[in-house]
Amino acid sequence: MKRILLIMPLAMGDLLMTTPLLEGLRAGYPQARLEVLANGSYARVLAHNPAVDDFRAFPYLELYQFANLPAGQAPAAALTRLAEFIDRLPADYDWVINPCYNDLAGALTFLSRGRRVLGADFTQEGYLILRGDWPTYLHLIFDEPAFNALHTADLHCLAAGVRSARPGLVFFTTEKDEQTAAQMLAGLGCGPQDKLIALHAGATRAHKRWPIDHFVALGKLLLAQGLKPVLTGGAGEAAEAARAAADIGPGALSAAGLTEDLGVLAALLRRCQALVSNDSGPIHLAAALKVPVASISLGKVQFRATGPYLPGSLALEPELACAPCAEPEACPNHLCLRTIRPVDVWAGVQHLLGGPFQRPPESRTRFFQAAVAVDGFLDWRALSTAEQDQRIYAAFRRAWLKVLRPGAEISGPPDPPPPSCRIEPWAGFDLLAGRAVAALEKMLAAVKQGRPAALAPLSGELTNLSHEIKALGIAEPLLKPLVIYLIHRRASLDDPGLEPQLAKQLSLYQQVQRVARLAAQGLARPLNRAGEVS
Amino acid sequence: MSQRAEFMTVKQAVQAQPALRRLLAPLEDETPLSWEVLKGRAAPGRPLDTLNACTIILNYLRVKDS
Repeated sequence: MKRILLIMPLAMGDLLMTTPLLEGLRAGYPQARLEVLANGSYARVLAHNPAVDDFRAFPYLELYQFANLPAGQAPAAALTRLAEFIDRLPADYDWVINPCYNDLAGALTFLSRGRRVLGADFTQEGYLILRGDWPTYLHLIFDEPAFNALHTADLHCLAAGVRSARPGLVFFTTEKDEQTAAQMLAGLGCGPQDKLIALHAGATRAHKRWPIDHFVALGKLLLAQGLKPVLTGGAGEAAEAARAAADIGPGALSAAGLTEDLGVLAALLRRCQALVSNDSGPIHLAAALKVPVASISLGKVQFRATGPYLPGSLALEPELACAPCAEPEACPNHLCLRTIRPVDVWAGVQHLLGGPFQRPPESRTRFFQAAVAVDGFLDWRALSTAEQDQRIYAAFRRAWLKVLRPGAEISGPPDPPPPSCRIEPWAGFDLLAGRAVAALEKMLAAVKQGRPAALAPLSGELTNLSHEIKALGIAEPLLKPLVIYLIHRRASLDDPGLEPQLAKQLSLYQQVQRVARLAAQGLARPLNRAGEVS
Repeated sequence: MSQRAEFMTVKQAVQAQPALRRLLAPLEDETPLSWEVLKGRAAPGRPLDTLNACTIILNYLRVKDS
């Protein structure tokens, strides 16, 4: 492996969440040249990162502007700028890894022409597909809140089959960053003895924003306990942050608009005892700096996948049946925004600062704390018995982790189904998957024995079985992620040879049958005191 | 009332920006360089080449017409 390219043109936090993967790739392929293609606006995220040999700055903003010029000018101007970028792309990579499932990243993957590709890619026929088991899991199971139990940063490493020697996200500040932040804080009237708590009230989408008056009320609680709130944010948020700081009262600071440089923001966060934030880039930055975070998880946010990757940090979720939300745009009341109260977050902050966790009376907040599980990956533990049953997450987590090991080909007869598999809907899924396995085994035998006439009826049977499995997935929410995974993984098996294509399909059906059996087994087990499957 | 946009042809675009010559080579000289032409060529199911991949990228970045 001489040359590896990671493509990640999403936001700052998404890029930070690839840093364990980059560390793992560096450790696993020490001789390889490791390049990253990402939005040029976020180059600072990976600056000074020794794992990265080259950062290829994708001119996202510039292209966005060109692409949205008046119709008569746009195509030529935008194509010219894009052609300049592509001409400098070497396109001779041994391995291209693209964890983003969208047209932009898929087309960049296609243009990079990796000899091996992991993640979203376009086929020669112009269809966007996902290459690899874990990328399919990441993008399809991820959208099913009840089933995703793995953090995105871990999923990236699982997909590539690497582990970072020092788990967690990383970000490197410079001496200048530290000096600038120190001068800025001194200028704001902050002394070296002040205990700072950063408050980040911004977020890209409205459904992720805890109301600013709640941040103000929290700030007052912090001030009353001798802690100094410091509001952070971009230049566009500076006016609101300044007003909020004034509303909190004397002693509250606003650094919003003064930390446009990510290195300076990082240096400021490092000076803080903790960060309280909506789901936004700074939670990942703080996690990378090992600053504990209380992340307010609202709207569609799934903290299990994108919460702060730092043991000890907290995720607070509204105790509502609809949380996390499937369609925030369609919600008529946005109750979730006001369900978590300032006293709930204060309870979280006290725990982050070393105090025992005490659930406030009448709280309607679920509290979860990040920890590294026995399987070595980040997990979220309920802080009190009021949190929902964790059984489903634990059962699926164990099942997927056991079956989807990178490069692990499923072969041989599967274990007999556990007793829990005799219960609907597991029994139905097990039966159908088993029939598909049998049909594919017969098809493979027919190909090997040169009996092509035997293929047609078996192929028809397989098609019918896949329709039945799909119908079962629609009817049974518990099976939906398995069925989605199966359908998409099947569609992405683009091996041109019949025999390898059949072998891969056989392996896939065996895979999902095993996941279903293991999950059914896990769901039938009792829970331990921490709310995990024992 | 919206005005009909005037598009330059491929030949005119290449004359103005020689860097586009290679990228636009699959198109005829007199083809108008419009989003409609590019998107039609890059529709799913059509063979993907560098120009179509570029169209997919730019189409992703465009604010879509409502």
